[in-house]
Amino acid sequence: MQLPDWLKNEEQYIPGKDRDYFISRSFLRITAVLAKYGYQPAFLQEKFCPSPMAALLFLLGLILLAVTSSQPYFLYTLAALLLSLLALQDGVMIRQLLLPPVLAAAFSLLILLPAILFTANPLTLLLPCKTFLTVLASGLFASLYSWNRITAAISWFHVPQLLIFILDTALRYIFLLGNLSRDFLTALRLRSIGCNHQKSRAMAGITGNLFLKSQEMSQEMYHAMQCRGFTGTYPHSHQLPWKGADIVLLLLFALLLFIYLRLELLL
Amino acid sequence: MHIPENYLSPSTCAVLTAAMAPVWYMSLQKVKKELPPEKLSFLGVAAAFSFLAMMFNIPLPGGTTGHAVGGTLIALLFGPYAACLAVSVALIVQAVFFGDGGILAIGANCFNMAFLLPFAGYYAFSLLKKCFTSDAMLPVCAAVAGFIGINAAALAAAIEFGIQPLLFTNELGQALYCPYPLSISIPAMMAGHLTIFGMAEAVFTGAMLAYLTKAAPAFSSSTTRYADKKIGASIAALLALIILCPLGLIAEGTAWGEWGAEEMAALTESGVPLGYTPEGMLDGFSLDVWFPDYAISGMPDAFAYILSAIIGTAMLIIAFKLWSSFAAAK
Repeated sequence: MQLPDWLKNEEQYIPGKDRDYFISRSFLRITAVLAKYGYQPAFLQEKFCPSPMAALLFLLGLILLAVTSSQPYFLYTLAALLLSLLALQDGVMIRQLLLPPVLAAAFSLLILLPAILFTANPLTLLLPCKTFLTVLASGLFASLYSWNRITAAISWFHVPQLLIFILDTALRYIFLLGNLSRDFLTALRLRSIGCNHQKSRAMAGITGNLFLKSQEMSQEMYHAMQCRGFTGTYPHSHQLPWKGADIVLLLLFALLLFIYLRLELLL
Repeated sequence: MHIPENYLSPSTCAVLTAAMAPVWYMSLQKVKKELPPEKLSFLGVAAAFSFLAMMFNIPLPGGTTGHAVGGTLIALLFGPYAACLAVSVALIVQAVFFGDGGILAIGANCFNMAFLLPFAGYYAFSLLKKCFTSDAMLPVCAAVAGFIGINAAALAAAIEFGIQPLLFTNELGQALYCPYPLSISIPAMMAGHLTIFGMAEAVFTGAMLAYLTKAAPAFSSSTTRYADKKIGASIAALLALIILCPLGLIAEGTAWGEWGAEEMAALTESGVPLGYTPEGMLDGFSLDVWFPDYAISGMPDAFAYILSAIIGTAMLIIAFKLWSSFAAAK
């Protein structure tokens, strides 16, 4: 028996060149978001850890001083403080915490490069340093507390309860919907063989289904809330006490303020 | 478009946060009134969805990708007030938990992306929908509205950047924050947003709406429901007030032609100070009794400005309401 001609031909499938960047990049970004949800033990022991309200106030004060300062020496002081806090962490954590500020500072430097090169303004050079310090400070703050304690700290500022409720729910559902969209993207990547000529339709399929799924989930969540006796109000009973360690932060802030004023006003 | 820390002065951030306060309040009230309790859970999920929508890379013709904010789409699906809250929460989560965008600049970012963007996109969609009544045109209208929304937000951000070197310099005239003036910041921001980012937003909004119309027709009808509402006088008034009032706050210098009597003496004419105050101005009629340069003695200027802005806002709202009551009586 002879083989038919079509079976004798050697088959070579070479997929056309195609760039499915939108799948791989979206995948990476969503994975990065989900990685933030991994459990990370705080680097300070619970009893030495100041209350999140005090830490949030300290962070805001510190950022305000950093943003308005025009003295490199003050930024050195901040760098000393923040880098020594960073040094308390373990290596993996340091890498995670250092990456965003380094990227932000590099981006800022890139944007400001023309201004740095063509104008004689030494203050412009401070901006990337300030960006590094402020992003590092907020990263350290976020790494020190679990997220529900940060929302509790925000609620201490008398933010409307509805907003705190939205914030709490959003933080939970970013994780749930993020996992879902990662699965969607994996499925799409497995099915995208060769050229995908309808990229925007593929994207709309993913985000559209994500949206429909989010509707379904919010319905389910409401039913779950009802079963647990939800009456339409969201009292946040997670008020946190102030602590002894807050005094340390207060003293530290007083010291920073003193240095700031001394440098800005007297020099 | 997330404005990071250090590019805007803290006072600009404070002004924009103050401008957002009434918007947030109004959105909360509207949402509480309009959404039944079973939909409350849905706001948090909507915020999570808008956060994730910002994470997606949108494929563009030519093989590149861009990011969308998705504010217009969320406004079309949930109504602009719910979108304002959802996008605001998404921005807060990004700034506080993910280090994306400044913490002091949350107000400014919310003003651009949670207020201007969804409202501009939403009303652009309402207007376009009136012009093109066919259902097939809805995704196109949505795409154009998304493009308009994101460009409105980008323009606002560019203006915020551009006024920094005009207003905040040290005694040597060196810029303290963003060093680029309006002539650089506006072209630099708009070049990206009129092309790649605007297109990403347009593709995202249009393609999503087209998909939802096909896959879940119930949601496209919700779009029609929201977008059919008239642009009330109250919204127009609020928009005008919120945008215009803080401008006075930001502008520290005296407007050209609005010099006080003392300032006249310091005015320069071809490099030589004027050196005198025109006589007629020395004892002219003065409104200083009520609003002495919008400042209240013993209070910091900013506080007095905010008080003046609130009083001005209230007076304008009263004027609008009086006007509409007269119009209704006719």
